[in-house]
Amino acid sequence: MTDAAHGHDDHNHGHDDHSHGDHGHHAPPSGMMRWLTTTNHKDIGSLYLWFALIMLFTAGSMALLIRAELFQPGLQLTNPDFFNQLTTMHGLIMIFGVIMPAFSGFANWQIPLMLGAPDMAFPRMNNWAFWILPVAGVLLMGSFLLPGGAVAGGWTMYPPLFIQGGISYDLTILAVHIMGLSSIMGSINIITTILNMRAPGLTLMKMPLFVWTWLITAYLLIATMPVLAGAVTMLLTDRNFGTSFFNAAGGGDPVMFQHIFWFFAHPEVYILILPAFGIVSSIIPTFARKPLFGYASMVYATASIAILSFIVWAHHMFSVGMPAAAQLFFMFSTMLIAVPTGVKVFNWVATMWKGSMTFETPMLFAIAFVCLFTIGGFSGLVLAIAPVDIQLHDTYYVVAHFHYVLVSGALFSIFAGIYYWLPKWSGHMYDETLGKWHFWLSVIGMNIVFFPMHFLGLAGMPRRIPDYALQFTEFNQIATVGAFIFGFSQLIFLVVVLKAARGGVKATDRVWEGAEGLEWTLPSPAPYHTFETAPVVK
Amino acid sequence: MANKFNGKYRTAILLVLWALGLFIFTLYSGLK
Amino acid sequence: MTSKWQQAAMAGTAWAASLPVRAEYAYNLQVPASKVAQDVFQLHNLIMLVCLGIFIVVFGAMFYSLLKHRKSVGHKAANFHENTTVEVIWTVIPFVILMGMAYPAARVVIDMKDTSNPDMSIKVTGYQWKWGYTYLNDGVSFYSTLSTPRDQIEGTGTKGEHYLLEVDEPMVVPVGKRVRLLITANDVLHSWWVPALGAKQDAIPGFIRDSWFKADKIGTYRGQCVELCGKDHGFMPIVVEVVSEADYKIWLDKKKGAATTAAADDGKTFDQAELMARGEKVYAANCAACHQADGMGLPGVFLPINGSKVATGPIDAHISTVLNGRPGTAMAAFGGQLSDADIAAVVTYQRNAWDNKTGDAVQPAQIAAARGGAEASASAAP
Repeated sequence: MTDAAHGHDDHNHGHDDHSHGDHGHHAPPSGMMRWLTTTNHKDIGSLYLWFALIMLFTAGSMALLIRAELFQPGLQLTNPDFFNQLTTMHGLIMIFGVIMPAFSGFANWQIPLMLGAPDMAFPRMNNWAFWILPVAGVLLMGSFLLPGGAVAGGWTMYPPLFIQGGISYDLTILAVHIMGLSSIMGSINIITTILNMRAPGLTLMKMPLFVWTWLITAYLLIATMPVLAGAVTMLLTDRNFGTSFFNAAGGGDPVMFQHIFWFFAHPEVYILILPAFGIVSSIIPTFARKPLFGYASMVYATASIAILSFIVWAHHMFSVGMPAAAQLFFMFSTMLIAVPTGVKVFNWVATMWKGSMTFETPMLFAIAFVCLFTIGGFSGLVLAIAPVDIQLHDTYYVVAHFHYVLVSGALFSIFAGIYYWLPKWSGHMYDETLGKWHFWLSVIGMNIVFFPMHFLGLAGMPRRIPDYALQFTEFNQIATVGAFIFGFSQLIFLVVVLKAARGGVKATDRVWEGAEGLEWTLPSPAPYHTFETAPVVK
Repeated sequence: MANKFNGKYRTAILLVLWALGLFIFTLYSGLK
Repeated sequence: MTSKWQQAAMAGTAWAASLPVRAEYAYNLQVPASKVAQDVFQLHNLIMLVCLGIFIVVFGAMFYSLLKHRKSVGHKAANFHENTTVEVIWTVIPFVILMGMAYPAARVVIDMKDTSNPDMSIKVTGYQWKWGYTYLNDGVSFYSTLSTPRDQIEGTGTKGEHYLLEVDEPMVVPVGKRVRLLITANDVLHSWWVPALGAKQDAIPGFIRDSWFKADKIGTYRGQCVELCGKDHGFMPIVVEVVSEADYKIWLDKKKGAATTAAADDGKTFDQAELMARGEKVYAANCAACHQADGMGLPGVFLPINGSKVATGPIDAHISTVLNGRPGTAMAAFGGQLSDADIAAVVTYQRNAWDNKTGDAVQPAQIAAARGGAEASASAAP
C-alpha cells in the first residue's frame, strides 16, 4: 500500500500520473515546488484551508479596527474614507477569501474520500483554481497602498459610487473576476467528480449529505458566478470605456446593477451556507450515535432552498422604489424559504432526539450552529416582511442578521468540520481542552458582539457609518468588547491546529465512536493516494 | 486515473459552455 | 374585524409601550409618529412573538434532548431515521404560520406604496453630502446640511444632545397633512429615512421615486442617509419639524422672503471684506469636507487649493471648475447648487486665503456671465 502521510509516495503502482515514458520512478517534488505544482486533492484541500485561515486573521483584524473606531461616538482612529475601505475589504475578504475557500478546502479533502474516488476529476485544473486565489488576495490587499487607498464602495459595489473611485476599484474588479474564475473551475471539478466518479454501488441517494450539499452548491456557483462577472465587467467599462450601463445621463440605470448583482448575490449567500449544512449533517449523527433523520427530506429541502434562491433577490432592494406587486412577490417568495430551512432544523433536532450524545468540540460547534443559525434565520424572516424591512434596511439589524448566519453559521461549521476531520487528515487528536476553550469563548464572544446589533438597527443606527449619534453608544461599546473577546479567542484555534499538525495522541482509523462513511475506513492520517482501486459499496 | 472515459470531459464542456453563455447573456441584458 | 393575531399584537404592543423607555438601551423600533410607522411597529411585534414561540418550542425540545439523551447518563441510542408523516406536518405547519403573517404584511405594503391624494409635495434631492428640499407647491427651496461642529466630531468639543442628527435648515411640514416626497439624487445613490415617520426611499440619480408620510403629532423627527454614498455618508442627517398649520405658514413666508433677498444678492456688488467673510462660510459648508479647512486636501484623494494653479491662475478657469466640476471625479458641479453671489464669494476666498494672495475680487455678475448660454439658471434651487 502507499506510504503514510508526509507526501512521499513510492509511485510503484501500475498506473500513476507521470504518464510519458517513465524511466524508473522519481520522487515527487518537496518543499515549495511540491505545494506549487501539486495535483493531489489532499494537498490542495490543505492549501485552501491554510489560505482561508490567513485571510480570517487579516479580515478579522480589519473588523477589530472597525469595532475600535466604533467604541465611542466621534472619530478617534480612522478618517471616514479609510473606515469605508475597512468595511468594504472586511466583507470582500471574509466572503471570497475565507468562507468560500474554506468550504472548497473541505470539498477537496472530503469529496473524493466520501465517494471512493482516487482524486478530483481534473487535478491540474484543481491546482490552478487554488493558486489564482492568492493572486487575487495580493491585488486586494495591495490596493491599500495605492493612491486613493483600497476600494471603499461596500462589498456590494453599487454604482454610481463605484464609478467614482480610483485605480484600486479597477484592481478589485479584476480580483473579483479571478476569484469567480476560481469558483467556476472548482464547481466544474466538483460536479464532474460527483456525477462521473462515484464508486460502483454508490448511487446519488446513498451519498453522504455533505456531498449532496456541495453538488447543489456547485450548481449554484456555476449558475451565478458568470452573472457577477457580467455585472463587474459592466462596472469596468462604465469606469474606463465610456459605457453607460448604470449612468442615467447616458440612458442607463443604477438600479439595474442592483438587480444583476443580487441575482448573483442571493444564491451566493446559500453558497455560503449549504456546505455548512452538509458539515453539520455529518457531525450530529456521529456524536448522537444515530443516523441522520430524514435523509431524503434533507436532500429535497436543500434542493428547494437552492431553487427558491433564484426568485428572491429583490428582497435586498425593498427600498429602491419597486411597484407594490413586486414587493409582494419578493416578500412571499422570501418567506417561503423559511419552510425548507425549518425542515432541516427539525431534522437535526430529530437526529439528536433519543440519541446517545457526547459533546466533543465538533459536536459543540454543530449544536451551537443549529441554535444560532436559526436566530439568524428568524431575523431574516423579520427582514423578509417588506414593510418592516423598509425600517430595517441598511441598518445594523441587517448586520446582525448576516453575522449570525455567517459567523455562528458558516464559520462555526468550518470550525466544527476542522475539529471533526483534522484527526483523519493529520493522524493526531487535537487538544480537546483547548478546543472547548475556543468553543465557549467564541460562542459567548460572538453573541456579545452581534446580539446588541439587532437593537441598534431597531433604534435607527444606519450601516457603514464611522461615527454615530449619542443614543447608540452603550450597545456599540458592548459590541466592541465582545469583538475583542471573539477575535482573540481565534488565536486558541490557531494553536490547536498548529499543535495537531505537529503531534498529539495518535488517531485511530474510525476516530469517533459513531462515525460512519468511507473516509473512516482509511488509516489516520489518510494516505497520500487513496482509493486508487474503487471500493464496492453495497 | 484509469477512468478517462467516464464522461467527465463531456460534463465539463457542458458546464463551461453554460458559464460562458450566461456571462455573455448578462452583458447583453445590460444593453438597452 | 381585528383577528386574534392582531389583538394579541396590540396587547403586546401596549405592554411593550408601557415599559419605561431609556433611549440608551432602546430595544425596539422608535416610538411611531405616523400611522404607517405604527402599523410597522405592530407588524414587527407580531413577527417577534411568532419567532419567540417557535424558538421556545424547538429549542426547548433540543435542550431537553441534550440533557436526557446523552451517553453520560446512560441513554442508549434509538435507531429510527425517517418518518414521512412528521416531515409533512413540520412542513405544513410553518407554511400555515407564514400565510398568517403574510396577510397583515401585504396590507401595509399596499398602504405604504399609495402616494395618491397628497396635501403637499416636496422634492428631495440627495447630494454628496447634504439634502436639498424643494417645496413644489410654494417654490421654496433650500439645502439641509449637518450642523454639528467639526470639533465635536474630532473630539475637542463636548458633543451636543443631537450630535450628528442636527441640520442648519430642517424640513418643516404641517401636522396631519399627507406629504408626498419626490426623491432623487444629484450624484450617487443616497436614501432618505426618518424612522419615526416610517418613510424610507432610495435616492437614485436620474430617476424620481416617490414616498409619503403623514405625521400625527407635532415634534422634531430625525433620520439619516441610509445608502453608502462616500466618505461623509454618516454625516448627512435629516430633520423633519412637524408644526401646527399656523406655524407652518409663518415659516413658509419667512423662507419666501429669504429667497427674495438671496436673489437680490446676485445683482449686487460686494467689497473684498464682504466677499471674504461670505466666502469663508460657503467654503466651510461646501468645500472643506474634501479640500479641508486648511486648503491642503487629502494627498492622492482630494487636490489642494492652497497653492494650486487653478486658484492662483486665470480666474475664468477657476470659475469654470467650480461651476461645472470635473466629470469623472468627485469634484461636483456647484453651479446648480450655489448662487452667483455664493460662488463669487467662495472663488474670491480661495484666491486670497492661506498662502494664496492674488488680490482678486470676483463679483456675482462675472459668475452670471460665465454661466452664459441658456437661461440665467435659478441657481440656488436644489
